[in-house]
Amino acid sequence: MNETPVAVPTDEGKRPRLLDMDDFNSRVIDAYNEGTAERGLEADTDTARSIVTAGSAVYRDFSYIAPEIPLYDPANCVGCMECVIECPDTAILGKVIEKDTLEKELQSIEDPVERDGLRARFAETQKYTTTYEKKGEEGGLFGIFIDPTKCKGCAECIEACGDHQALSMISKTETNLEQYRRSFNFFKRLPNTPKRFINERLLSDMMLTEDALLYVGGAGSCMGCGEGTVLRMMLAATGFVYGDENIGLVAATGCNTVYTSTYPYNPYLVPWANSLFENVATFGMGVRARWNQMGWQNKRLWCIGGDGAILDIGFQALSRMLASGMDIKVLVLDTQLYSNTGGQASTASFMAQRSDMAEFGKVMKGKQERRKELANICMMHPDVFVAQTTAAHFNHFYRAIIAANEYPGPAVIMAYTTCQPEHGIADNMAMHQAKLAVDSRAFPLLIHDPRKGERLSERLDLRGNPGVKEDWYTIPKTGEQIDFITFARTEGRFSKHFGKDGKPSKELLVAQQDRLANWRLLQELAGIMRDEPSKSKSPVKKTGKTAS
Amino acid sequence: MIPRTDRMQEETGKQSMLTKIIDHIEYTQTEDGWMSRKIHDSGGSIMAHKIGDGEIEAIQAGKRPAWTIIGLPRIIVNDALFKETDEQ
Ligand SMILES: Cc1ncc(C[n+]2csc(CCOP(=O)(O)OP(=O)(O)O)c2C)c(N)n1
Ligand code: SF4
Ligand code: SF4
Ligand code: SF4
Repeated sequence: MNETPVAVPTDEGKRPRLLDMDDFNSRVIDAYNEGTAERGLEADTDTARSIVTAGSAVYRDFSYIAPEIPLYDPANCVGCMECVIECPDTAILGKVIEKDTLEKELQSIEDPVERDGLRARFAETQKYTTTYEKKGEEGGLFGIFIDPTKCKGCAECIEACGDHQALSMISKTETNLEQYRRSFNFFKRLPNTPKRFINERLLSDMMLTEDALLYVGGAGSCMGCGEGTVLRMMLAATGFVYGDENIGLVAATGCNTVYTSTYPYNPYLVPWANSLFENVATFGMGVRARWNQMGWQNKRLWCIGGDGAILDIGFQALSRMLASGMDIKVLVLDTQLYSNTGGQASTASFMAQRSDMAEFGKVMKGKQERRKELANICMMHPDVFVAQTTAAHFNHFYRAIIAANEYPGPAVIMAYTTCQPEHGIADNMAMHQAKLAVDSRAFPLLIHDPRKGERLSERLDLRGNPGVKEDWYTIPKTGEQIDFITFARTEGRFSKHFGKDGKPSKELLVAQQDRLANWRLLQELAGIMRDEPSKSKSPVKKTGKTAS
Repeated sequence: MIPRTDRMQEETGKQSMLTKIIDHIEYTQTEDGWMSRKIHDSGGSIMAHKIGDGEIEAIQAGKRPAWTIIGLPRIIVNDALFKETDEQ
């Protein structure tokens, strides 16, 4: 094919209008916000083509869905940015500002009490103030602001802040809700964080830049959904390096496509298209081929899908894409079941996990088959970059995304994502459970980089997992062993496996052996010598049936 | 409004893992000086902080601590509910 531009230039030499953005953002969005769309809006070609403006979800207002909102105490804040990174809804943001600039901006606030309140949002921290002063530079003030229209009140940010205790939840009232609105509007008017405060080597600081905030919130995901955070972080690490102009997304049907494209609300600031449930990798190959014809080799293309879409129905399409060697990145949102359709088992479900199609009853006690390990399978395709990671391990996650983007071929990132209703966990537990999944070998961290050597043991890196030479990790202070049973005890999807005395069922013990077998396989592939080589046998009988 | 949920707790009756809500900020005089604590609606509290004399004097004079202006948590000083100078 020749180099035909994607859009034929108009008379003025500009691209043709795909959609009148101002009209869409006012007429269409207003009608939906006011609840008059169904009867008041006429059908038109734009609606028929399902084209939505970038970031239109910014106009969605969730102020009245949650009874609580985070309260920020700057005296305890160290500027670590973890709350900003982990919020699934881009509802909490940070900024560094110079003192003089802040004072200048505060002059626009008439009420002296409000001004004091806004001034107090910013505090000195070692990270942004003293460190700079020691270098003889002017230090900055760091502050955290909450967008009440995007916050769903999940309290994940409070978990992320943890022992710093700079955040806690407080009940909403009409008065404080209005204050939150006004303070967030003030925050939006402030200039961007000056570049000198953004340390390029500190990955946690990426979300201080506009380039990294490419998911605006306003998506219809459940409170605290683990998927939202993963999507935001992938975009942050890609946008920070390549810029928003150089990213495209193709998404397989699943929860992710539903909450990011409930007409007319779209949280993405980058181009996005919905494939079928089964063919996201194939769709991606088409896009990549066309982009390459257009000389857009530098653009990063991400295919997104759940474990159902990628491990099950789209597995063959993925394998074909990996074999093609094309420069396409795949992000798997691994909730270990079909979340969007109410929680059916997938091949990624853990053994003994209770779900639709793998119920817990007299005959069957949760899932009987072993979990399919997509990361292991992808590593066996030639020259594929593979990572298994979680948003809770944000440095590991960001490094995996950055390396995948740099890798000049196919890359697959398996991301552990909590699904609160289906896992049976609390709304603020995304990060906590993801950490426990890693610590308990349910979902080990790994990076397989084909550039690292000829041997698999050189290419596969298990760093980041605790007690990497041991079977199970033991907490040094308490001596407590963290195994799969420890993890299962904390989630409703395994609750029926525990008797009143707390003893695990025999099916869960088999699941425990399955996780250990997978961990030992990874250790072996990575060339890790275990501290105590175990003599225990494979958990699964040669027939393929689970041992009991 | 949709309250936060802990489905593990709903299913098993185990202690909830949900983050507690702040009910009020408490300032108390102790032998070691003035301390401040955030008190949960469940009665528990978040770590105590030592408070400087200047800060407590301002509060006693009816000036809300600046960090609580956005959010307006209730404040209790030595068991008495704090009221701003212009409040009735
Ligand atoms: C061919 C086909 N079969 C079934 C469906 C219905 N469907 C839509 S999303 C979905 C499950 C998605 O599960 P997963 O890929 O794991 O993503 P999650 O929702 O868990 O994020 C199903 C079965 C469909 N859209 N297309
Ligand atoms: S409560 Fe949840 S949605 Fe609100 S800011 Fe915190 S993490 Fe984000
Ligand atoms: S997590 Fe806590 S300490 Fe870190 S930036 Fe957020 S509020 Fe500050
Ligand atoms: S059902 Fe699960 S994966 Fe889907 S939006 Fe809700 S929490 Fe997220």
